[in-house]
Amino acid sequence: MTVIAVILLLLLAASGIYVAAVLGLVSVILGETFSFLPLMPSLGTVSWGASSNFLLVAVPLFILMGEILLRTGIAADMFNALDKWVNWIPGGLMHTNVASTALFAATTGSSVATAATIGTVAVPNIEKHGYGPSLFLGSLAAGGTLGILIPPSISIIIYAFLTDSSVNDLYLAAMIPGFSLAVMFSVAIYIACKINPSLSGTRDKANWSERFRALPHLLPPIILFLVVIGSIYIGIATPTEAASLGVVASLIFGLSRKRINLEVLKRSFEGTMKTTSMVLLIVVVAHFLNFVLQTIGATQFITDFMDNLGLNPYVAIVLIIAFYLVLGMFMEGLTLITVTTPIVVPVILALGFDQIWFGIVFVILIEASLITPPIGINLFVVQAVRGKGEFRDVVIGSLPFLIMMIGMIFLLLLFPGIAMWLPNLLN
Amino acid sequence: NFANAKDLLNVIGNVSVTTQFKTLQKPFWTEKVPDASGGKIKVNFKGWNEMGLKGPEGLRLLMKGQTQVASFQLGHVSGEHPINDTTDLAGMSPTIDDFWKVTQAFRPTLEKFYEDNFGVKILTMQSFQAQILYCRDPLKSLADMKGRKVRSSGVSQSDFLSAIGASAIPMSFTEVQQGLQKGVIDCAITGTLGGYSAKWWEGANYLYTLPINFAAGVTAVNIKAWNSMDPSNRKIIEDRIKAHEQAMWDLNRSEGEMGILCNTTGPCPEGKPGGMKRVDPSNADMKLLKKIMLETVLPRWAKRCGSECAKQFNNTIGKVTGLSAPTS
Amino acid sequence: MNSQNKPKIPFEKTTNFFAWIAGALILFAAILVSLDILAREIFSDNLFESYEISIYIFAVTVAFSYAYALTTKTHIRIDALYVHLPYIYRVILDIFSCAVISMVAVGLAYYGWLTALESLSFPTNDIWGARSVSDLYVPLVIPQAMWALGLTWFALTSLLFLLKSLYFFSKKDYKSITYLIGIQKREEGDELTEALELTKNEKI
Ligand code: NA
Ligand code: NA
Repeated sequence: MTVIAVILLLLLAASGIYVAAVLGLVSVILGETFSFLPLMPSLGTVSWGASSNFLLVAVPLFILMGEILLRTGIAADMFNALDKWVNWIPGGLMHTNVASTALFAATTGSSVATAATIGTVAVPNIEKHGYGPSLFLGSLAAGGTLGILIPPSISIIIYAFLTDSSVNDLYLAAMIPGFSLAVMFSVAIYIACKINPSLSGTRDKANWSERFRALPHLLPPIILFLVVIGSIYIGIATPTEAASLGVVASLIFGLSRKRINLEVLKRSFEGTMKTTSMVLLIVVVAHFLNFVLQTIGATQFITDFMDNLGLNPYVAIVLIIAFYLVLGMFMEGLTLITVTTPIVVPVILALGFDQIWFGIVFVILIEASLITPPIGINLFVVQAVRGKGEFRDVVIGSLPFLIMMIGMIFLLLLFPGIAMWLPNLLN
Repeated sequence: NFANAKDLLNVIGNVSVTTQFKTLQKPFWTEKVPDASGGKIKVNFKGWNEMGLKGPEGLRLLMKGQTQVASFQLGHVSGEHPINDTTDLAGMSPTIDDFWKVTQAFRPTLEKFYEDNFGVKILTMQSFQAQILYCRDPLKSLADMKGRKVRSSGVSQSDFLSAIGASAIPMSFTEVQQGLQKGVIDCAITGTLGGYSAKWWEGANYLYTLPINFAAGVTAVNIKAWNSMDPSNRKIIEDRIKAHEQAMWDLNRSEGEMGILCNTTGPCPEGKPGGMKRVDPSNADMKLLKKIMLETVLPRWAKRCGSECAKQFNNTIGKVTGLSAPTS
Repeated sequence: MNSQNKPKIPFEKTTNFFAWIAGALILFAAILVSLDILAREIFSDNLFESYEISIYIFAVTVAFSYAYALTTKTHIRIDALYVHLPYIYRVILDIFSCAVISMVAVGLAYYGWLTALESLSFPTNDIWGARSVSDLYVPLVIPQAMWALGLTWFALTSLLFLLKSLYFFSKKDYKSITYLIGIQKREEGDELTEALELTKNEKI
């Protein structure tokens, strides 16, 4: 029955039916068919529970923060400043792309926002400085995915919500893999440009005085990171409270630059509510689906099934990772998290893996899904920002970064400490 | 294989990290009952946190018949009706034996209320160990609690905290450990062993063993579902539920002092001792707790619950404790 | 299809207006929570009960914004199969899609109201019924009814989209259906176009 449900779900979803509607439909069908109780009447109680959750309040807060940074030009200033510092490395601006996506990622929780924001500022440089477009675009698409790995992260919050894990532990666990992955992206660029120098464009080497004059523009993102993440770990705020502080801080930055006006606010509000309601409709309905799956015993069934297979845990997890890489080609990241978490995480726990550790592996798998064709949101975003040329440029250019992501996943398998060292140290 | 629908039960258990869930509830519903029925009763069993619920939903799901059986903490539904707070008012029961007496005295009233108003039959009334304070900073007495931020889980606990000048912070159970560690809150209240299992001792250094209340809870069944069950199956549950209930009380009794030892110096059968400093309440504080209960907690509860409720309190709990709730 | 005969998007102005209010309330919640953190550090006290208030603001504003994500085509749809289908099938899928999301919206609204009424009719001693377990002791029917109202707005909007599309289908005006509910974004108001506009003049 689970197989039928999953196939039905994928088929409907791929036909362009609203993902939230598909989840709703599948919940109702499963609930009415496989449960001897009609589960619909609990829709209100269960979805009020999900809709009135303090942890999820962080979602609109992070989106609002990103909107303000984008619309007040703070993000663009940051890009230009970083450029002065990393431009000299072979690969030039592409390192700027990775560094600014990483830094922007450290202030916002969304991959799409990160790719769109940095992409918008960076793309005009392709022609201006004669870069080979594909690797350049790939660095933006892949760099953008850091938005959900380097804390704060909306994906991590949703994972924590669905699995009842600690956001603080997940943030700590994501820290080293997140920044390491950024470095690995830069290494990929360096190697690619050493092999094929035509990928790199002209590099204007900035002098030291320019560099130091650019420094103040790096302050807002660094301060925001300290406010949003620091406030959690020095112990004055929970993740949602920290997001509130981040919103207020970015508002203050905007005001101090005299770039906040009614128009900027209106547009930020629109963008925030658009994305938030899109995310939340899926999360609320997926939460109800989770309730239905638990009530009809489907989750137990799958866990028992996996248990009975008696696979070696490492074989099993490699299979699960491969399954996600394939599924991730066709599914969009948020859908992937919400639909599969309730089913897969109990299996992972039964196999003896840690749910914080898997959260990090999972988020990297989601990152991979964002840059694998045919459905890769960040590929679309970067292509849309570029506005011309062939889509396959972006796809091919993202490949080296995809390899790095898979490499990081295997590093995490071999050395779980990469993720678990920080949370263990601080607990 | 679901041919006889009467025999399939959805059971929502307590929060799944507790020893009560692991050593009693889970074996009872997933092994004892199905085995005794020779497989005629099939049970689908999950803790409420595993269903993605926040805690208070259990009652409503039972009322609508969305699950046949559910366990939930009465404090979590004290907003649904103040009568849920009655047996477990902060400061009312100094020991678990006092709490047991109070529970037995009020049980018929609560059972009738649940049947008449919610269509729900109470199967067991249980609790956890004594609910005590886990604090980051030193404290010698309740007077030191003034100005501290404390995580509470129920209306009557909040009333108690406001009376000692502390501020009550609502926070989900899973957030507390980090909250204590990082100082988002100064103290938190939970059971003696529950706090050990959730590793609160990693963030808190002082354990104040004043028993505030007991996290009273019930396991209940939707009456329609109950009556439509096969009578022989119903009897299987009826015959075993009393012993199950007794086992939960025995577990709490044995875990009360053990939890305190686990959090502090040991010995601890559950793992390594937490190393917290144990602070036992003075007689003065025991008296202060009683005074706050009489002057703040009980009157506020009576006002919320109404005069009928207060009269019932006086006729039942009043008889065994000598307490009297204002009826106007 | 020229710009004169583009169909009117149902409730476009109102949903947009709701989104502004919703965003402003989220900003308000952020400020309230921040002030509470400050108050906690300075006076060891929660001044504004921001924890609970921000939850209600969140639940209600998001419910009122579901319709906005619909009118702006933000709700996620995956086009892996969809794009390979002949046009008429895509139009039919668009209408089917709209029907299913309307069903979900109506379901959420209906059971949302039931939950609110259930809270109100809990047999407590005052007229307000069930309350939150907190210092605020808020009658739950208040935030829940506002939440249900937002869900109802979503249901109404999606039903209007559905009715309009069915009307255009009967007139064989498929272009209008694509414009209203097709996967393709409408040109104006597109986030990326806007982002490009915003930074067009930035010097790099
Ligand atoms: Na981030
Ligand atoms: Na993909």
